[in-house]
Amino acid sequence: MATHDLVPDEVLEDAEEDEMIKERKVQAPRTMNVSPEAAEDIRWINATPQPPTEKMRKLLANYQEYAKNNPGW
Amino acid sequence: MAAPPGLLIKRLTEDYEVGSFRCSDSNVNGFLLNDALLDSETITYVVTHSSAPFQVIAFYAVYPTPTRLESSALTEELDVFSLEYLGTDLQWEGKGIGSLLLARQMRHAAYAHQQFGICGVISRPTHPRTHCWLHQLGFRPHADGGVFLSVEELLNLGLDPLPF
Repeated sequence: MATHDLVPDEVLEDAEEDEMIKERKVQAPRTMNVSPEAAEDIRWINATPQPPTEKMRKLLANYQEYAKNNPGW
Repeated sequence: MAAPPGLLIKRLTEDYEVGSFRCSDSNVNGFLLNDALLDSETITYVVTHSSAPFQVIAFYAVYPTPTRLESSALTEELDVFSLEYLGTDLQWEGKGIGSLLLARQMRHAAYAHQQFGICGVISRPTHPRTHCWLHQLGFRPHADGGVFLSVEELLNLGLDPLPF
């Protein structure tokens, strides 16, 4: 006989709900408060993407070169 | 500047010596010395040199799941990848190690986007020099004093995603 057969339906439903709540809690993202002005700035930055800077390209190229010669990076 | 050979990078464990680590940002020092091992929400990677493989000379921390921005001005859900602490010991500054670590953080951001979907990368540097550095690299300032890189700008970097 399966264990479920011994447990009343409402108890099983409660347990399932508890599990779902736990799961949601684990997956809930951390939050960061930002001012309305910062939120507007972030919207604007998202709406106006810019190409990578030369400095960023160089940084990533140096990293790739280092990672190629140094396993683990 | 090309970083010196022999740098090792690993997840922080109790085996590593962090007590003598000092960078120019006291908040960053405080995190490594007091919180990094205890903070179960962040993942910390440490850099050592092959000549002293347990002496931490640089580190960074990442928060492996997205951070949701909250504001009275937002009706939409904006999830971002937050760059957490990054520091290089004063004795190893100027050798390009911080740049290597930032590149790895950005690869983690690319992974986070692949896994969860994010709208960008945010950072709240506590040291003005770090703020300036990130700005020069293409992050743009926002009104709360931090910097932001949009997801499109992140994807344009063509990074190979790096799991945590």
